[in-house]
Amino acid sequence: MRARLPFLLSAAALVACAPRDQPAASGLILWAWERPEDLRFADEATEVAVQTGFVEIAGDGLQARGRRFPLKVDRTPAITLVHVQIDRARPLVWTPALRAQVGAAILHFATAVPVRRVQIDFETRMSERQVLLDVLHDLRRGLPHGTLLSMTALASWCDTERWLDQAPVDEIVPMLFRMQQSGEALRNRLAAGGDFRNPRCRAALAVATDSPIVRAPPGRRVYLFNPRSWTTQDFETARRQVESWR
Amino acid sequence: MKRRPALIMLPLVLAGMGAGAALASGGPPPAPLYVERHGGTAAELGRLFRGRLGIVTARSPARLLYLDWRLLHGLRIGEEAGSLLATPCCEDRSSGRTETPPPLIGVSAWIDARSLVPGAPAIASYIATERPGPDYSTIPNCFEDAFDNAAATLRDRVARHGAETAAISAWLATQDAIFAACASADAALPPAMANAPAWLAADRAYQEAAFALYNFRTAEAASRFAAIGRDRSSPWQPMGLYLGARAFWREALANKSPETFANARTAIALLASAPAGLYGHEEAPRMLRALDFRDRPAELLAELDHELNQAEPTGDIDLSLTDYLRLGARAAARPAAADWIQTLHSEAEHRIEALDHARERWSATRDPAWLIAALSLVNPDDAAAASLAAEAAQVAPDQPAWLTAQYHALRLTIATADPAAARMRLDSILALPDLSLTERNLFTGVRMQVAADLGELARLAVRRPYCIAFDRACETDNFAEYPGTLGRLGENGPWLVLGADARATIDLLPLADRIALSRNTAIPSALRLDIALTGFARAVQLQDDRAIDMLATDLATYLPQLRQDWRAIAAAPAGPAKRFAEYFVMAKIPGLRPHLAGYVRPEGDVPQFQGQWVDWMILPRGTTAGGGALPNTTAYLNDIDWYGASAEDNDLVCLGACGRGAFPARLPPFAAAGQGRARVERASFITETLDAEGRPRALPRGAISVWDEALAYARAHPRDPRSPEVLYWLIRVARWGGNHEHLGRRAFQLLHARYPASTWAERSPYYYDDPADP
Repeated sequence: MRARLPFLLSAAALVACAPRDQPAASGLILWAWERPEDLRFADEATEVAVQTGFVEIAGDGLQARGRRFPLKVDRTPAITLVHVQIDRARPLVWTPALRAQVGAAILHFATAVPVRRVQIDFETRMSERQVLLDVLHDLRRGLPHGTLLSMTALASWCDTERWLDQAPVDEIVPMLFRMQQSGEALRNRLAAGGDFRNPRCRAALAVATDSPIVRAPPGRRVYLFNPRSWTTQDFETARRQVESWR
Repeated sequence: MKRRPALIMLPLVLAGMGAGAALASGGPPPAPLYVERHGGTAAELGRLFRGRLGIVTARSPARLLYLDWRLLHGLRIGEEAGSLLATPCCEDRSSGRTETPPPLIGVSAWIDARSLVPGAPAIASYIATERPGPDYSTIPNCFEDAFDNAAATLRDRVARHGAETAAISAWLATQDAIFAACASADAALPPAMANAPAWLAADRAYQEAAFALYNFRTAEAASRFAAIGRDRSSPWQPMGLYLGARAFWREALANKSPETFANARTAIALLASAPAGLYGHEEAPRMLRALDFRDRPAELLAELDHELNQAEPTGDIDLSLTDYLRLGARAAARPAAADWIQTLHSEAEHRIEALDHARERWSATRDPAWLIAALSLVNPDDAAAASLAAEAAQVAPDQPAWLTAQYHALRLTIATADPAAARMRLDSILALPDLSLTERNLFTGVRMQVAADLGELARLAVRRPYCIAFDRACETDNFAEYPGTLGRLGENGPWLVLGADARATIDLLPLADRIALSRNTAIPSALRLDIALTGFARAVQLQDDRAIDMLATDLATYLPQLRQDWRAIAAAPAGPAKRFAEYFVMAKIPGLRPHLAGYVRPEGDVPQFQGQWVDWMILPRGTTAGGGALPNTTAYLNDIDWYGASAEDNDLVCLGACGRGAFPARLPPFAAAGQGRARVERASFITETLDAEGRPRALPRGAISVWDEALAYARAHPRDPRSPEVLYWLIRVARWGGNHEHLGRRAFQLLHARYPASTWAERSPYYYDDPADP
């Protein structure tokens, strides 16, 4: 008897079952990065993710600080964001003590505002993926029950790497800007109606005002990054771009 | 190094913290850094500090531009001032490495010191140091030095009095409460120990003052510190006057009013009038400066302008410049240096206004700094370009502005210059022995635009980078970690890279010229591999068998991991068998492209080759369906984020660092003759079967899909040992590249039906498909 061929029906197929001509509207989230921001122009449907903390791991110690610049909003932000990075000038010594300090610092900043969703933005090299996973696991354990955990990701992580499957998060946000060399191919694929390989990366994405893309999958939570303070005009331009993804 | 008085380091630096470019995750990809806008290496900066001004890169950090301004006006820099204001771009990790880790500082140091006390109460692994501020901001309250000071004091007290004493426990409990007050107004001090020893009582008095300070009870803190200052028995007595002044000063900054400022000035004046050498005495000017910054900014700006334009650097130049730039950025009437820096940093959308302003200043002052500013902002097609280029040419070689003027004059005129004259002028500049790496790379880029022949182009296409920049770090010994765009001439030659402008130029050349270039030994073999491989892709798309054989023969040497496959191509008879041999190789190189833009060099073993496949198509001869389009400018800037360059800069030579003025590339005259041929060739290049909107592109009859033909060949040649392997590769092509007509499913089914026991079938237990794929 002829063996049945194994078949992996990817989640893309399931996604593709949705009516293609009427995609759900994309939810917009404004990133309020570390600079003065006045987002009172944002309508009720637009969420705000506020960076509340900055943590730099340096050698076997860390530097951490809260937000320095005001954020003016009409409603409490829906998301807190903590940016984490590793100081390249001092080789990382990832000890249990340092891990505990980093985890506690991130948790402090992540919970500085009562929110339902917390996001981690952490730059890591290939050899440092475990550090990121450790941080996410610790944060997951420390967050109040019911808090959603989100992480940003290089677009390439969502396309060519498997370790992301171990991330204990509710949302992965591939960033379609500042991409590496494979960025062009990915942009083209998304423009042609394709998607990220990893199904976990298909609920949200991020774009930047200075790196417009022709098209990305509609109906997702779309985080908007602006390298300068937001203006109404920047927001409307970004919104129109996202709305054009049909 | 002298330590600054501890306890309450308010963030003066905050005064200078602008809302700079935000960090976003991931950072730019690793990229060779060959145009450096931070002043270059320590040696290059040293020359600047000693008075040698090279090219002013207009989009350098403001502090470096200030140093340039000094040299343009005959003002000395010197090592001390220079090293305060500029940091070398690159660090050699192999030198200066120490086996001894640096000491812990701040909160880490404090937590480490607490472990000296057995049974110390558990605290959180991180101590928050800020109070909540308005609008989701935070207010720094406790600073690193406070924790360092506490850690040092605890170590001292443990050493003197033992770790397991009630007094030490009481001391620690009080200090923990103080640090809890850093972030919380609810923190409370424990009761003082009854019958405390004298040392603990003195420390407690100091701790209570600090606790009041961190709770913003400034008057109480000042009063307590004043009392400590009068207590000759207290080890903290020498600090009393200073700490009292700091308390008033902090109150003034937190609650701005004429009264708080007057109180602070009075206290600081008392500190300043104390004998030199008293603890904190030297801090008085800085504290006064912080007050001036807030209540008399215009006067302070004028004073700073005067101070910063002295012939010799004076005072605390780091802080002065920080305050100066900050005040200058928001002043209605800017002093000249601040105005100049602001003009150089103009945003692209304000280029014309900035250019007009710079020209007006140049006309009014005849200050060469303003000529440089105007030059950096002007485009070659602006009306002012010719006159500015002519004035640049008048700058004498002994003037600090000379090299910058030469660069911009050449930039503005190279498109129409007599090539021979331009070569002579550029060669004389490139012969200068003291050019920095950046300057040499820039003039080499200009010189390449008038290369006389392919041999010159080969020599001028390569640039020497400082490092591979990664995560805002530039370590000069990291080339071997990121070889993807690099090559070396010989085993020990310097690492070299093709300039972005060179890659764009090479992509404009017809195939025959590219093949010649890929054989030119002035280019490192790794870079020749890049040119040859992209040439091979072109040759396949053109179905130029002669070129294919030449390149396959070369590539057997350049890319020996596929030696057998390259030889098979050259040995195969023309027709389907040869094409299959070509496709077999293409299926193994996912990063292959017809252009250097977007191409990813294959490195390591074959399974490690990086990149994503494209939908290679072979069009009938004479077609124009490929359209002949070239990658746009930004495609050559895969290092775009490092340089902050953008397409609107239109500058593949200086990558936007030299100013907002565009630098449209000129094709070397010898190459212009081949452009007709190159355009015809490009019309055959097509790697996408969908357009940017996701619609199928119209392809001419007879167009061949490389992957379809490879699959068909495998189907028709079951005994060819390459057939199962190509099916394995096609499954990967479908997953990571285009899944053209469910390519993956078709390849998978054939592989498992025909070769179920093969290694290739074993390695492919799944295929990836999406019903929505075209």
